[in-house]
Amino acid sequence: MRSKISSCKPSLPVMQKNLTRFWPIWLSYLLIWMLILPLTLLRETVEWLTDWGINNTVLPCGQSISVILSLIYGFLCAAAVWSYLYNQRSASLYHALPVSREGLFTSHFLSGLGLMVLPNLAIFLISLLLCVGRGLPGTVPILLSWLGAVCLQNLFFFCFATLLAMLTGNLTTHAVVYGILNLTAVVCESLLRFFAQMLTYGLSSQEPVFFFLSPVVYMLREYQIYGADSQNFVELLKFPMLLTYGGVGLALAILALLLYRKRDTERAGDVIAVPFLRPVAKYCFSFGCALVLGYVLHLIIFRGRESLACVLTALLLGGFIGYLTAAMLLKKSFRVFDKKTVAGFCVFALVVTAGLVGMKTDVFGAGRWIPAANQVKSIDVSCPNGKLFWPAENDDPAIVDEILALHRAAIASGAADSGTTFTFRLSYTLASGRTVERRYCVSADTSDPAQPAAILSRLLNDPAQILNTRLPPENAFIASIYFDLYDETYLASGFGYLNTKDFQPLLDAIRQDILAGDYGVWTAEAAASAPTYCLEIEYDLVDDAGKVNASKHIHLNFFRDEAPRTFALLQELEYLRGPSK
Amino acid sequence: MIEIRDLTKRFDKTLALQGLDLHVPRGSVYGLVGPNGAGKSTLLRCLAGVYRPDGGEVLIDEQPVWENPAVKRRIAYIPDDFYYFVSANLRDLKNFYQGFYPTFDPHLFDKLAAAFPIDPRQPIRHLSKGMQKQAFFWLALSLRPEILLLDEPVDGLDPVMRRQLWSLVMSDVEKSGLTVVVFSHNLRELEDVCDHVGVIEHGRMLLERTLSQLQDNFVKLQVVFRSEAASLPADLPILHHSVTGKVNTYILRTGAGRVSQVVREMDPIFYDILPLTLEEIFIYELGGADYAVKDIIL
Repeated sequence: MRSKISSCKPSLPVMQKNLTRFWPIWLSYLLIWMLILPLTLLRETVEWLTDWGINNTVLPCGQSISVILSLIYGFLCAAAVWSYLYNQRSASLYHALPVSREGLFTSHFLSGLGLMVLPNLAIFLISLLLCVGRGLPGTVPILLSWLGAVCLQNLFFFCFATLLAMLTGNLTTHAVVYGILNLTAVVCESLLRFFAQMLTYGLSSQEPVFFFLSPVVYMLREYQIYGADSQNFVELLKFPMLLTYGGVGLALAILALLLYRKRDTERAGDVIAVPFLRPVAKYCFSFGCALVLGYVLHLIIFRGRESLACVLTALLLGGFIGYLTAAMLLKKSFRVFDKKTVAGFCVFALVVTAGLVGMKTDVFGAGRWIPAANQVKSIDVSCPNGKLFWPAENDDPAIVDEILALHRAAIASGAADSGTTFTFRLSYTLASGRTVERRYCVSADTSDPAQPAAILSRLLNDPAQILNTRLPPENAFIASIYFDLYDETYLASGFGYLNTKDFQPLLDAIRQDILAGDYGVWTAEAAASAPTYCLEIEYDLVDDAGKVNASKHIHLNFFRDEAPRTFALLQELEYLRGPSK
Repeated sequence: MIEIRDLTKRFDKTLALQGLDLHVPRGSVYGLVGPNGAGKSTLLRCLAGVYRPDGGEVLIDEQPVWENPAVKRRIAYIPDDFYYFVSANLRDLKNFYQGFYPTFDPHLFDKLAAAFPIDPRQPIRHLSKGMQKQAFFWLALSLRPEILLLDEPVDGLDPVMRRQLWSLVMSDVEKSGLTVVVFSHNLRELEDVCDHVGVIEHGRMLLERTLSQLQDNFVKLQVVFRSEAASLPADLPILHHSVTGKVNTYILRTGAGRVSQVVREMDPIFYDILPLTLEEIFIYELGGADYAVKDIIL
C-alpha cells in the first residue's frame, strides 16, 4: 500500500517541464529584480559605499515593491503551472499520467514556487557578491532579510492563487477572483460601515478592522510605517506578519491539495470548479455587487438621501444585477429566468432587506452602546466637521464619566435636523485594545445643561484641559512647528516652518493666551466658522534615558480675534506678512 | 484483465454512463461501438483513469485504475483530442513520457522512425492532424504498454498509414500479448482487427460478445416464397424485413442452422443465408434499441 508521503513525491519530469516551459515568467521576474536590486546596489556602492546607504536601498525592496511583485508574479506562476486544469485536453493528459494527484500537486506546486524563489536566490547571490566585493560585508543581514521577506510574500500570494486555481475552472475567472478577493474584505467592510453609518444613528465609518483579510492592502499599509534608521530588519520587514501570512499560505496550499484530490477533470472550463461552492459563489458575488453597485447607484440616483427606502432600493438593484450575472456565468447561458432563479433572488432580497431593517432599527444595539467607565482606556473627543477640530485625550476618571454623560446625552437627543447643528466624534480606545468610534450630529443649543452641546462646552473649556490638549507636555522634544495663515480681511498671509529658536517663545505666547482666556474657549457656534490660521506642532516623547518613545503632533486652529499674543508674536517674528490687527 | 462493474458517470444532470459492465480478456482486441453520445469516450477516459467514476469499479487485474500509478504505468492512452505542449516536438514529448514510464523503450522509439515519416525535431503543432496522430502512436507503442486505449485511432489517416498502424499494433498483440480497447466509428476496420465487440448505447452495454459469437447470432435471409402471402413464423426473432420484387430480405437474431431448418420446411423457390457485417449488426441491433435509420422526407 502506498504511504501518504510516497504518493506526494514530486514528479521530476513535471517539474522540469514547468521550469523550462514557463521560462518567460521566471526570466522577466529575474530581470525586473535585477533592475530593482543589483543594478541599484551597483550604483549605490559607487556613490555611497556605506552599510547605511545599502540598507536604505535594500529595505524598500523587501517592502512595498516586493509585495506588488509577489502579488503579480504569485498569480502568474500559479496561473501558469495550473493552466492545464483549465483545458479538457491538457487536464486529460496530466491525469492520465501514472502519477497520483498528490504527486501532481506537489510537482506543480514546487515548480510554481520555484519560478519565483530560484530567481530570488539568484538576485540574493548577485547582490551579495556585489556588496562583499565592494567591501561591505555588513550588508549580509539586510540581504538575507530581503530574501526571507520576499520568499514569504511569494509563498503567500502563490498559495492564495493556487487555492483559487482549484476553485475556478478557467483563467479569466481565476484572474478576476484573485483580484477581487485581494480587496474584498476591505471594500465590503468599508461599504457595510458606510451604509450602517447612514442607517444607524451614531455609527461612524471608522477604518476597517478586517484589513488583514485583504492581504495586499494590509501588507502595503503595514509597510507605510518606515524607519530607515533602525537596524532591526525583522521589525522593519514585518517578519511576524510575513510568517503569519506564510503559515496561512501553507494552510491554503493544504486546502488546495484537498480540493485537487476531489477535483473532477471534466470541470475544466467551468466558472466554479467545485460544484457545492457554486451557490455560495453566486450569493457572495450578489452580495458584493449589492454593496459595490449599490454604493454607485446610491451616489448616482439617491445622492444625499439616507432613508432606508433609498439605500434598500440601491442595494437590491445592485444585488439583482450581481445575482443575474452570477447565474448567467455559472449556467453559461443567458436563459436564467426561471422559477428557481426568481426564488433564489427573493431569498437574497429578503436577507438584504432584513439586514438593512436590522441596521435601521439598531437590532444589535450598536448605536445605543456606551462603554462602562472601567472598560475605557482613553477617549478622543473631536469635532470633525472640518470647521473645528478639538482633540481631547485623557484618562482622568472624572473626565471619562463626563464624556460618557455626553455620549448618553447625544443618544438621548437623537439626530438634530433643524436649527444650528454640529457634529462631534467620540473615539474610544478600550482596555481590550479595541477602538470604537461614534459620530453624532446634535443641536448647538447650550441653554439646557443636559444637552450634548452644553456638556461638550464644559468639557472642552476646562483650562487645564485646554492646556493639556493644545500644548505638548513639558518634557517633549519639539521637532517642528509649521504654520499656515490666510485671512482676506486682514490681508495677512504666510506659511512655513518656524526656526528652532522661535519654538519656545511661540509656545509661551499660546500658553499666555490660554491662561488669559483668549484662546481655546470652545462654543458650539464657533464650530460653524472657518479657522483663520493653524499651527502644526510635531514633537517626540522622550524617556529618562533620552530614547524616543513616540512621535506625536498637535493641530491648532485659530479663529479671528483669538490668541492676540500668538498672532502678534508671529507678526513680530515676521512669519506673517500684511497689516497688523 | 479489464473488468468494469456497474460503472456510473454523471456530468451535472447528465448521466453519461449508467451501470455499465465490461470484460476484456488479456491479449484481446476489444472494439467498442455505439452511436454518438453513447458514452464511449467517457468510458475510455474512466478506463485511462482520467475521469473519477461516480459509482462502480474500473479494475485491471483486480486493481482499481483511479489514482493508481502502478496500474496506469501499464496503460497507454491515445485520445481523439490529444494535447501537446505548444512548442514541443516529438523528442521533447519522448523525454517527457520517458520520465513517467519505466517500460519506455528508446531503441524501439528509434526503430519506429522507419515506420513514421515524421521529423522528431519538428514542432508537433506544425504537423498535420494525421501526422500528429502518427506521432502519438509512435510514442504510445514506444511505451511498451500492456494495455492500449484508442479513441478513433485511425481517423484522419491515409489508407496506407492505417494499415501500417494496425499492422504494428497487431504485431504487439501477437508478440507481447498487448490488450487493445478501441473505439471507432469505422466498423469495417474494427471487423478486421477486433476479436471482441461491445455495443454501448445510452451509457449502458447493450451487448458484449466475441466477434464470431456476434456474427453467428445474426443472419441475413434472402428468400422467394411460392406464395406472395407466405411469411416466416412469428416466433422467429426478426429484426428487419424488406421486400424487393419477389425477394424477401430478413435480418434475424438467431443462428443460421435454425433459420435454414425453418425455411427449408416452407419449401421456398429460392433462399440464401448470409452473415451480417459488423456495420449491419450495429445498425439492426441499435434499431431494436430505438436508434434506427429514419426515413425522413424533406
